[in-house]
Amino acid sequence: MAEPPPPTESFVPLLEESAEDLYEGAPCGYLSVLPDGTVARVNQTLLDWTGYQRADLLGRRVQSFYTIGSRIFHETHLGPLLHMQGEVRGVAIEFRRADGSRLDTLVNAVLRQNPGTGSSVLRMTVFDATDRRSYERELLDERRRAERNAARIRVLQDMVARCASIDRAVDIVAPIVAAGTAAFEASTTVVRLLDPEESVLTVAGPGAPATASILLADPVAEAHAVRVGDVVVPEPTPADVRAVTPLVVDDRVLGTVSFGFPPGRRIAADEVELMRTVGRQAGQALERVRLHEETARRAWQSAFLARLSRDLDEAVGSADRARRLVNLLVPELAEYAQVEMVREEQTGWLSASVPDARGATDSADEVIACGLRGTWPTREEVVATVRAAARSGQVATVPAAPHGRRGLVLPLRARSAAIGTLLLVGEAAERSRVDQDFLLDLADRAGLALDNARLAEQDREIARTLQRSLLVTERPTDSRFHVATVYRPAVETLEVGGDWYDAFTTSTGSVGVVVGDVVGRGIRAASAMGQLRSAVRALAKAQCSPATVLKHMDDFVATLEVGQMTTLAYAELALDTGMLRYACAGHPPPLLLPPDAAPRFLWEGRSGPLGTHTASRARREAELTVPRGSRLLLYTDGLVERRGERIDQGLDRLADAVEVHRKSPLAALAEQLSDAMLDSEGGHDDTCLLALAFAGAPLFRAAVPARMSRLRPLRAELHEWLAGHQVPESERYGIVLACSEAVANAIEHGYQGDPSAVVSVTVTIDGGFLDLRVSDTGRWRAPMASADRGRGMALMGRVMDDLVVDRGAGTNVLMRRELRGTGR
Amino acid sequence: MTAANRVTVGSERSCEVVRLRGDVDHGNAELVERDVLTATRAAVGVVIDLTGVTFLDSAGLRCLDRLVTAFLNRQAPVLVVAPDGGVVRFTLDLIGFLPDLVVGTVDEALTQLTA
Repeated sequence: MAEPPPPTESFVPLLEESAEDLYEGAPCGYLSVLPDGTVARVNQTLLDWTGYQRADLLGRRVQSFYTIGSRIFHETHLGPLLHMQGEVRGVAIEFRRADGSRLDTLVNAVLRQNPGTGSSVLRMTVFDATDRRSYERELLDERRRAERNAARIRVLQDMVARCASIDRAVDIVAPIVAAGTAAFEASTTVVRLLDPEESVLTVAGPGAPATASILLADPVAEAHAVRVGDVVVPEPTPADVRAVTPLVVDDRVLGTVSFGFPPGRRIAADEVELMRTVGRQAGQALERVRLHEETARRAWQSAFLARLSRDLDEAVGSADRARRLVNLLVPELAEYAQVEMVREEQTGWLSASVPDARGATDSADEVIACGLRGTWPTREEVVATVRAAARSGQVATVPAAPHGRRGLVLPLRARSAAIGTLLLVGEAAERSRVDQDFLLDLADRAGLALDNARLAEQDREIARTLQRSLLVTERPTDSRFHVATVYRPAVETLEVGGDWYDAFTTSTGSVGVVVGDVVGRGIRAASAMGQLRSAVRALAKAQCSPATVLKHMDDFVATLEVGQMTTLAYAELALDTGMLRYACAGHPPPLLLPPDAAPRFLWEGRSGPLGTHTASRARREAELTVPRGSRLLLYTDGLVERRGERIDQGLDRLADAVEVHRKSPLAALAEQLSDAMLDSEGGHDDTCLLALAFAGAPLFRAAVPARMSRLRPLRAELHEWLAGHQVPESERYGIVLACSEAVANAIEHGYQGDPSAVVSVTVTIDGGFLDLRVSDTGRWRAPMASADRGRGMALMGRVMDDLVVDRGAGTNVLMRRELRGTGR
Repeated sequence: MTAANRVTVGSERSCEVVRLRGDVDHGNAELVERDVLTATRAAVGVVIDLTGVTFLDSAGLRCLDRLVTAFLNRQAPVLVVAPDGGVVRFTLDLIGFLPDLVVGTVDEALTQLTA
């Protein structure tokens, strides 16, 4: 049997013939290092990699061929590890090549002991890690970039969140600036907003006025960014590294954001992309907040106008409305407001506000002069501008207020005419909500409200004049009776009512008295009152009985269709017999005050108000005889009606009040009763009271021709009359003196010596008081101050207890003296 | 009655005594003043006797005022006579007119002026 041939070593011809070759040409570097770091051996591979000659390395310390970082690493980590473990693996070491470049390597190191000598050597295998290191570095950079972008996105999200929560457009600046700093480390971030009408970019936010506005035509990056609608990065200069992103929404540019950087800063492409996003996000936020602002402003404005109209309507007179207007406008819309009205070609101040001294002065010019904590340097100019605006009806600006405040003059218009001006000066507290359209709207509303008030005032004035002319007429005079009246308009309204009174003698030797109340207020009621009053007078003078008067009044009301539901009380007193006939048409009962008995209401002779069908079929009257010295009161319901009180309680109060004041002279009684009945609240309705005294107060009456020569006969006549009424001589002379002085005054100053004029003198004695009245109808002119005239008044004042000079259409001098010496 | 016959001027104890009568008022005060001034001459003293005056008003007071001033300007001492309790005294007292110049009787006035 044949034996298999023994395995033979297939010999591979090796490049390396020896271990020496293997060592030198190995695919890694070898280093043998002595404990002190001296390089003992190095293979060719490492020499090739590093570019050193063997002689460069041998005998030198290995650390000197490291980069600085690796040198430190070797000392602090590698050495101690080797000492403890005897070997390390995969340590990254950077060698410095002969040409100075860096060689990244991974090193395994083993510390070998020679048991014989006890010495040790460090063997290091060195692997080229250039590719791996650069790959690692790329990974690292990529990670850093990702992290930075993530951070920027967080910044962006933060900005968007902050932008979403703002309510005012200017508040958008802070989030953008914060984002610019956080995302791009920008040294400056400036936000500019575009005014589309003016084509101007203005800096928004704090510190705004320091930087000039930019016109869109200007050759700057901001203007360029607006035009192209995209991020613009101008060529950097050493002084200026900048990027500008437009604030964009739906292809519209609302403004720009400029990021400024330190010199040398490069702006990366991803940063530009991010800036674009910032611009879009902020643009959307800005658009949203602007819409929100606009909505809020509109809502505020319409609420303000509604409040304005409501408040102005509450006030009645135009002056009151003007006062309310300025109070509403300051400080919300201005620091100072002033209303002027044009009346009959004259401009007159109506109301003005001054924060410090409201109401302290009564002229607008003075208010302007002292208002607003400073003087108005060109006050005349302000006044002239206001006057000019009143004429032209145009808006005008006033530059003259203190501390550079601007003023705006708005025309107040009504019924397509300028009726005045509203001057607003200074900043509005609600600045962002106010614009000129709103102010014009406001001025229109205010103008209408003021004009309505003015027209109403005119109506009231006409009605009042009418009523006054009807109420104040010559009263009949007869020694057998005496009449006193009081008219008190309602407190709460300025409109005149339709209450009236009247007294007249009839041809049968009777006196007729009437008090009536027309339903309604204002000019219609006043004119109806006038017609009814004339009608009653005419019917009574035609010797109709009270019931017949009412019947005819029903016809009158039905025919003319005025004064339906009018109530009235009519009474006729026969002066010779004391026979009193009366009738009440839906009116409160007359009150009779006999001389020696308790007051009592006259409840007979009642029927319904005028113009009512059922009432007109049954007009009733009553009659009774009253003793001399009796008094009769007629009044309207305003006197006895009080809120929360029954009518009978009011009547009881009246009876009580009459009892209390029964000793008073007739005129005083009428006043005292009105005071007593209306004291607590003031009347809420007009009040009319007529008091008739039968054979009451003695009366002296004289119509004196306005000649000084007639003074003497007058004195004689009065003297005699006073004597006849038991006025003691000691008092007579003084009374005559006072009367003579008053008449002389009337002749001298009232009529300026016009001899055809007449001075009327009446004297009554009632309840221990003497009342002296001297009246003229002349146009009183202020006399030159003279000791003479002063003495005349002084004499009157000293002789009499009370002296009242009442100047209206003429002059009435009223004097009263309590008679000391008589028993009356 | 005219203004003239309500003014009489006489001489007593080398003084001039001006007697007024009736009413002196707004109707005649200026006439009275003129009559008195034209009727009197310079004298040692002047007595204005109002004993007969039945009424005196503010115009009368002014008249008196001017008369007194005029006489004093002529260097003539003046006294006004108005009886206590009379109507003229009442008016003068009311207004507090010239209290130092008013005496009760003509005798008293002449005594003072010639003393």
